[in-house]
Order: sequence, then C-alpha cells, then structure tokens
Amino acid sequence: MKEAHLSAQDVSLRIGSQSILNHATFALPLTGLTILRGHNGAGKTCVLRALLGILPHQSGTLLLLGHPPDVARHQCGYMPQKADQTAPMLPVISHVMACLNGARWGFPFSSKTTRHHAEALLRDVNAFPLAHRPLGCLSGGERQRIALAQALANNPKLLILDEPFAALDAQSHQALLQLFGQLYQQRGVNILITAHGPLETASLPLPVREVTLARGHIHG
Amino acid sequence: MVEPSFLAFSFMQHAFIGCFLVSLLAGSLGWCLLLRRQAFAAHALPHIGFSGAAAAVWLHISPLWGMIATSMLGGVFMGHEGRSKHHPAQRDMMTGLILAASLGIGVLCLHEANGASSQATTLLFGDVLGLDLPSLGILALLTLLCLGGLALLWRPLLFISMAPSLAQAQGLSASRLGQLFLLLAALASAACAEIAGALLCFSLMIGPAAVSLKLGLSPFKGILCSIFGALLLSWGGLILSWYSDIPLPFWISLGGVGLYALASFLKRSL
Repeated sequence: MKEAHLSAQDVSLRIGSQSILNHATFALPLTGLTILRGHNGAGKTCVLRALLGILPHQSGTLLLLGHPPDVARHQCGYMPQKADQTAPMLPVISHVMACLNGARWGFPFSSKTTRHHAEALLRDVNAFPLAHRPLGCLSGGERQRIALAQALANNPKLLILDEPFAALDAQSHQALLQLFGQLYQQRGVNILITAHGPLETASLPLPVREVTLARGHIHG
Repeated sequence: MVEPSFLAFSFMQHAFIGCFLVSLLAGSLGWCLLLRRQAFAAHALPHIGFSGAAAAVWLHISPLWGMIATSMLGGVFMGHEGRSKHHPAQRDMMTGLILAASLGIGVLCLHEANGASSQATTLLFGDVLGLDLPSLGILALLTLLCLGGLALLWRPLLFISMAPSLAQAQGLSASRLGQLFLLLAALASAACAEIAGALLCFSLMIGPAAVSLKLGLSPFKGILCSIFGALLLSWGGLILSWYSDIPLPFWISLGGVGLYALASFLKRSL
C-alpha cells in the first residue's frame, strides 16, 4: 500500500476575512480513508484546495505526501463537489482519455495505448459499460464514477474528493464506499474526502479515520 | 465548342487551395471554440478584425495584415476578460460592445478611404476569387502557425476544457491556456475572413464543428469531421457559385445550416 500523510506547521489560511486555519499545527496519517468533517461554511473545500496548491496559504509550512502542495498535487487526484459540466455530448471514454497525460504538451501519437489505459480506469470504477455513452446522459452516481476514473488518471497516491456523497442516494453511498475499498486494495490509493452525513464504514476493507475542521484547526 | 472547366482558370485554382487551407483552420479551431463554449468569440473576432482591415485599406496596406493585427488584439482582450472574475454574461456583453464599436470604426475607416461600398463588401463577405499567390503564401503560413500551435497546446487544452477542476488541481493555468488559444483562434479567424468575409466566417468555423459535436464524435474524429465539413462547404460552395453565379458566402452560410439539419436528422434516426 502507498503511504500518505499530511503535516502543518503554524499554517494560516484565510479567505477574505474568514480564517479557515489559524496558526494550525498538526500531523495526520492519510493511509486508507480519511473523512474530513466540519459544519457548513467551516472551509473544508478551501482546505482541500489549499492542499492542492489552488489556494495559497498565508503562513507556515504545509506538507502533503512530504512535499509542498504545488509539488504534491502531481501525486494527487481531485474530484470537485460539483462535477464539471463540460462537453456533455462527447463520449465518456473521450473525457477519461483527455485526463491521461493531460498536463503534457504536444499531440499524443499513441492513442491506442491511451484508449486501453482509459478503458482500464473505467473498469476499475465499474463504469466500462458507460464508455461510449455521451457524458450528458449519465445519472449523478454514474457521473461520479466517471469523475473518479478521471481523478485516477495520473495514478495518484492520494485521491482528494470533495463531498463525493452530496448528490447520491443511500444505495449509491454504499456502492461508492465499496468502490473506495476496492481502489485501496487493488491500486493502493489512499482517499481523503469531505462529508456531512453519517457513513457506514465499519465493514470497509481499509483503515478509516475521521477528523474535524473547527475553530481554525483540524482535530483528530 | 466545349466550355473550359472551372479548374482551368488560375483564380479558381487559387480559390480551391485557399479554401482547403482555411478549412483546415476553421474545422480544427472551430471545433475547439465550440468545445470551450466560445462560439461568441468565433463570431466577434472577425468582426473586430474588420475594423483593422478597413484601417489597412485607409492606410494603403494589405487588409489581411490589419485583420490579423486587430483580431489578435481582440483575442488578447477576450483572453484578459476570461482571466477576470466577471460573470460570463458580463464578459459577453463587453465583447459585444467591442464588436459593435469595431464595426463603427471599420465604417469610418472605409469612409475616410473613399472606397466604402466596394471595399466594405469585400471585407464583410470575402473575396476568395481575388486570392493571389502572395496571399496564398500568407494563408499557408497562418495555417502552419495555427495548426502547429494547436498541436502543441492540444493535450493541456483538451484537459482544461473537459475536466477544468482536475486540470487546475494538476497545476494547469486555465487563463494562460485560454489566452494562448484565443490568440490562435484570432489568427485563424483572420484567415477564414479572407475567404468567407467577416460576416460569414462564423458559418465556416462553427457550422461544421457544430455538426461533429452533434454527432457526439470523439475529439480526433470530431476535428476530422469538422475539417471535412468545412471543406465540403467551401469547395462545394465554390462549385455551386461557379454554376449558379450566386456569391460563395451564400452557399457557405446556407450549407452550414443544411449540414447541421442533416446531422440532427441522422442523430435522431440512429
């Protein structure tokens, strides 16, 4: 299994006048499934975005997987709370292929390899039968699985998922949790999510840890 | 006596080569513009270019250079607006205002150049039959430049257009990529306007691209289909225009609508 950890030394993160992290110091192992909780508006999404270097923190040292966010993000996959509504008419497989080596310059000449890789990702998230359907025709749960396949495209050590259960019914909750377990066992990928409601994690085949963002700190 | 084929005339040969080059540009860049939901940019850029072309006429230099210069300025402006935090509706409104002002400036320049009616018609509706070898050389250069640039940007552009949140999380800059792409689109629209004119360049860039997106083709097939569609419109338009004596832009604009209607019908019947 891949190891993952997060550490903060005197980190402050502010958005406008709101203080999300206030000189926070903590060390968190992220192996398995880590659930970040906090009340609405506590700034969970901002913390995730800071971990990916999208939002800069104002002071202190933040290390994810032993590196600063702008380095560590290349070993992370990210799924936003609201799936991007782009090109709904294009087939699912094209959406996944676009994420494979997407940050590299130039034209890909080995599209067959890319296609096989994308198909493997879709199989990993149990979405292979959807490969040739237009993205816009999928349900919320199906769309979630495609976003997960996209997040897995660069073979990450850590998946960072913002409210992955927000748009799902109870049955889909359980299916997604099982998928997390499967991804951890098969690919060794660790998962950090934000969540609101209760989750049935007792039977999952991976270590589960809950942490809370409150009063400018993350509490274990 | 047998009437000579249209290909026997050098101006028609030039027109076919020009249409081929422009179809490569319109098909590929147009597809990307639609994918990125920037159809309005495809409409606005050649109109903005019109003012530069008209100014070039006034200054007695080639209208194509003026078209390229102001289209690229327009591209930089739109790219800058894309970087700001404005709501897309406000961004479109500002682009629309610049577009309207450009048309006004273009009319003034043509008026000052004392050649308003004929020059305006040429700039607004294109002059494919007036293409000479130097113009074809410039078109070929523009085509190479745009397609080379697009090939270089291809993977990150596709990534940021189809999965923007993930791409940003991997360190790609949506604004920088968007600005670079709009510069390419500006160059391409200046080249397309040479054939179809500022007013109908939109048909050539957006019509075939809309067809391939409607058919739900993957990016590579979609761009090929879009290029083929643009070629069908421009070459088909040239041939029809030769036999019917109706201007090419008429056939391009109607053909674009016809192709889209056909794609919708096919999609529904499949």
